[in-house]
Amino acid sequence: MSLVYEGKVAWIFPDNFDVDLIVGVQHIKETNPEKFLPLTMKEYEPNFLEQVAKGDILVAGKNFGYGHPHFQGMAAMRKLGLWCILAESFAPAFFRSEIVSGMALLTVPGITERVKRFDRVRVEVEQGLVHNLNSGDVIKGVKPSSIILDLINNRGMIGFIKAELARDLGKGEGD
Amino acid sequence: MPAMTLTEKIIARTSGKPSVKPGETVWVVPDVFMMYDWPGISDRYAYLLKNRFNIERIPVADRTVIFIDHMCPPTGEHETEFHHGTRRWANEQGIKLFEGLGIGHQVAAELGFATPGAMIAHLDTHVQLLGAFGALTISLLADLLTALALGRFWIEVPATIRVELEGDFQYGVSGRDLIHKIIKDLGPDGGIGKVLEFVGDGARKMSIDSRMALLCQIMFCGAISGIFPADDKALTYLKNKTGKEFETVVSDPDATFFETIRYDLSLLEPHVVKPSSPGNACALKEVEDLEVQQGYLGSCASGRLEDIEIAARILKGKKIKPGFRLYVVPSSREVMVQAMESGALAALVDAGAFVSSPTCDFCYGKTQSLCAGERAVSTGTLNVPGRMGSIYSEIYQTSAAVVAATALTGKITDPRNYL
Repeated sequence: MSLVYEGKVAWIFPDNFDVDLIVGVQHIKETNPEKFLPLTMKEYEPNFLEQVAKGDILVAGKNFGYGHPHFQGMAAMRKLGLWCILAESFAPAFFRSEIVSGMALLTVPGITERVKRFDRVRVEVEQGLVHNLNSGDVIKGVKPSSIILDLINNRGMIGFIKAELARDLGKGEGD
Repeated sequence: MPAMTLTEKIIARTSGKPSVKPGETVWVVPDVFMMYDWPGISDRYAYLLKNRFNIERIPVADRTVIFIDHMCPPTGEHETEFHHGTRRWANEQGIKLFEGLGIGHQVAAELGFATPGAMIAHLDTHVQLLGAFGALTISLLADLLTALALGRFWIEVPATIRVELEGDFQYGVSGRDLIHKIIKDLGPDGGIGKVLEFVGDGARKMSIDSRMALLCQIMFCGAISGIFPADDKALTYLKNKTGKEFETVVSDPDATFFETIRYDLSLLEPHVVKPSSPGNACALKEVEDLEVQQGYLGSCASGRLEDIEIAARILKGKKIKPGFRLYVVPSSREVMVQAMESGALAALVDAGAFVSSPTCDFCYGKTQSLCAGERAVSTGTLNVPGRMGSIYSEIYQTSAAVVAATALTGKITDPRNYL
């Protein structure tokens, strides 16, 4: 498998960022992506939608996803083609729910100091490495476990569960 | 065998390994799977299990329980139909369904589902309160689907922070204040990915209700769970509920803890969490006398007998401030009946409170009663904008005692002045 993500840094979020702010807390009951997608990051950067491209990378400080995260913020990012987040650390509940939704999340201590917005980065997920292609810097993150890699490879839990069920069947046991 | 913490022992047992250590990722088979019905989650699980995974009957149906506690009472026919769908699915699957008993997390305690050394998985992030009985509770959110489909879930073994408690709370101060103080001290990420284990004389002096209030909010210091090793109080509670005797499980004396922090409960003062983040905790005195229009006493965090009784003690024979709206929602039917029998609910009704049967609806935002510019004191689980109405209103999270004292004055008030 080749889990490499390459793109420019689309945004750098501060510590303890509540992802509901991505579309605005007033819109977290909106379930139609067509309605909340245009609102993405509007409060922070009115031209965000024009500035991002498929494959871009999100960067965040400590405890990204703190609070009671609703799905809209990250669903909007995935609609835009952003599937990879590098953070100093992740809030545990957010980490689990986004990994199983197919996002590639990598914990990279020091990342917010070592990339700037719009830097081009290449992320080698299996190795836990981030290459800042603008500065030449190589930043070491935490290598994900094999289960997390399987989840990322399967783009989340649906494919992952199917693969696990097939594996259980192969073993002749239901576990 | 290497020395292990209580949490490591539970993960080792449920992963089938002789021992585990922090940082490794393992598969565990929990003892109990819990959920409630919620549009887009429980109905989607049912659809996916059957149609995407061809699972006619989930492998863990006999260990799965589902609660109907949100959208109670239904406020539209679509909600009634939704609950019917849940009942049909539970019946097809042979899953035990509980309704009419109150908020699932509290009802789970009353039914004795949380036992010393047990592992419990739930989609919700407040079920950690079941750690009051020495069980390890893990929130899976959408990933509960993996657990239902495979009968197991993955977990990175967390390190444990040992929290040593000594002394006893001043009257009017409780476990709810302690968790707010811990959030203030550790910060929103201070416990990230860890389990907090509460030990010491102070922990043993804490009531079960106070332990549950504390653990319910543990995620807001970043922790994945919290646990009190079962002591005589917890074992007696379980004996009374189930008729069974349980043995406690504790950390080995030479187990490795990430760190140890200490609190003297007798020094603790009332704490609140300011808007608009659950990490925004401070001492009550910082916001004392701020004008407030509404109070909510309830939720899985703080609507137990201890909460209702201290509120009744503050409000008995008095009237809440004219124009102030006080909503009181006991956490369960059992709590409600006890509070009726003790006279506490009568005292609150007489003081002017609006009292509802148990439901999650006042907490999760279904009851949208705050208008722009208003403030509430709330024992609910969250204070983000819009949780209780307008996104231009403010929620101060606090203990039941503070809600009651504030209802008297219309200003954020230290309950110790009225006890």
